[in-house]
Amino acid sequence: MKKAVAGKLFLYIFLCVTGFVFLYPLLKMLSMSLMAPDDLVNPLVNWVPYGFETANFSKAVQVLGYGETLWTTIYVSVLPALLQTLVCALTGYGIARYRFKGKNILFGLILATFIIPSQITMIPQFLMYKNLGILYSLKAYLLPAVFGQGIRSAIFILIFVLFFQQVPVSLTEAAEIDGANQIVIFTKIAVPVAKPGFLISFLLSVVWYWNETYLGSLYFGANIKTLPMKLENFVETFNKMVSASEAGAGATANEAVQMAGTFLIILPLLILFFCAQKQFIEGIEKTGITGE
Amino acid sequence: MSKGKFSRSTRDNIRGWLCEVPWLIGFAVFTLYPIANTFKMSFDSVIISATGLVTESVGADNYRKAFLADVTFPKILMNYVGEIVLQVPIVLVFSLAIALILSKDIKGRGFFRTLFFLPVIIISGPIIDKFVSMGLMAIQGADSNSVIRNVLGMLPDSAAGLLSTLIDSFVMTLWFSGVQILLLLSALQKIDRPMYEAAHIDGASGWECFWKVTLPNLRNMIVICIIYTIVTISTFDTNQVITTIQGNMFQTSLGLGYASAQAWIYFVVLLLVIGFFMLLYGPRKEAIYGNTKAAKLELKRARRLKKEQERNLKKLYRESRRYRE
Repeated sequence: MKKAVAGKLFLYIFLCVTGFVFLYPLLKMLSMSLMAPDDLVNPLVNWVPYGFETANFSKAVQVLGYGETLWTTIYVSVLPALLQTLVCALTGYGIARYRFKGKNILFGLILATFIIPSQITMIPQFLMYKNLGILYSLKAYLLPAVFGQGIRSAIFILIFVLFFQQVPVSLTEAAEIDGANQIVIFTKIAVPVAKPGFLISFLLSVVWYWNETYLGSLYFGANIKTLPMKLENFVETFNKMVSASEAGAGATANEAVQMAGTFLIILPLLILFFCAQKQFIEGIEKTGITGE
Repeated sequence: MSKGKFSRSTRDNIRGWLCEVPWLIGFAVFTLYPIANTFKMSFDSVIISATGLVTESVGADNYRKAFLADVTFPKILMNYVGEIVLQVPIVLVFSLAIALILSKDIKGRGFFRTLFFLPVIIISGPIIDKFVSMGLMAIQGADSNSVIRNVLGMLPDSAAGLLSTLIDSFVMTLWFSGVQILLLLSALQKIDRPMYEAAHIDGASGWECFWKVTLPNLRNMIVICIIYTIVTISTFDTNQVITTIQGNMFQTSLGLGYASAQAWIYFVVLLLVIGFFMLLYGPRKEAIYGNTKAAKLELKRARRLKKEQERNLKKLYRESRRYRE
């Protein structure tokens, strides 16, 4: 009995320690973002600054062009995610519901595309978009998404296959006998059953498009800058703004301002996560439970 | 509807393939053709100029250059291989440990699940860059720890460099385990309870249960997690190999041809890494406790034995009461 209690206690300590390690960068970011320049160099100030320097945030908002960039980021991530989810749903539905020749080979092929790194396809894609005249616009994201080749599409197709397999065959057969056509069966029977699948796919897709900067900077160039892309040259933008305005001479993009910027960039994601954490966690767990 | 016109299987064939049309077009245009094209370009010198693309066949020169003339590329590639070979086991063992703990009857389970998943939402190249450059991703105090410094001093340069980058970005490595924890957790929930009971009756300890029951049952999921981990780390924005490739694309001295050759080399290396881990721990048919015929019989026997034991206990209890009375 004593041993069991000690074991439990050890587990809790382990969880709390690792949990803290996980959160450490975020907590430190929050604390640093509120520090005045003096607090940053003061060895006595570790976590709690002497005063809350909210000016850091107003500076970061300016540097990032926050309001405008936020909207850009939202539509750059939501539109492709929406298309990707719908097309992956269709692809997954076909595999889960119909028996057709070559289905297993096709499914294997779809899963295999997961390990293809974008580096090996991006150069011809870049040239292709250039020829089509859609380079440096959002269409460079939308076009592959419409054809099921968006960011990590294979995962979403797999999720949909697993969720659509849950649709009872007897139900679809009964609907068929009642004269329902395939579209009605899809929208009225399959989609409601696979609703969690739609949610998790859309959410993950938004998040992954939001955080994608590698392909984004290649396909958009300087035309579209999302929040994470702006963070990449945060310091340069800051310096440029300071030298242009003259008023803030001597100001530097110290760690506090950078951390304030970082916090502002992940804040929308955090809000999304805390509103939809149940959908995120349960969606992935259900995926794991329904199949491997 | 075309009912009656076609047989059911023909209809299913048509409908099934119809659903796959968008993906098939996309696969041909945005995946298959580019891969082939990258391969073709890797034997050319392709340079973007004001008038358009200037292409010239150079044979295997790009590959020769990547391995022999380029000073940094082989080194970056080796670093990547070294890092991933260390990072994958770290991520796997960590996710498995957390999943095992969370599968137990623990208070605040939901909270911890959310906590460990959180990084998946916010992880992106620039943010990780900022955190790493400010030292927020390091094992705290590792730099000043004399034991670690001594160990690093004794190792050859390349290994020491590898370990110190690992220490500097240790938390980042753990941050890659969010999805894996949830997947393993759900796989753990699927393992049959009676299997543990049977093993328990046979006298297996918790430790033995883990190796003989839990791990074999998790095998498929672990394989999936390994592949997922390798791919996410390999395509992550801050990965030096891929930033080098993108950088070379627009250098007039190197051009798209050279970048294509590097992309192909990287792809092959990635496949080799996956192959390596699959050799180490791939999907293999093994005698999962409860999956072979003999084991199933064993399980049945164990259940019967348990019931018998319970009956005996009850009998003993009744007898003892009678005795007392």
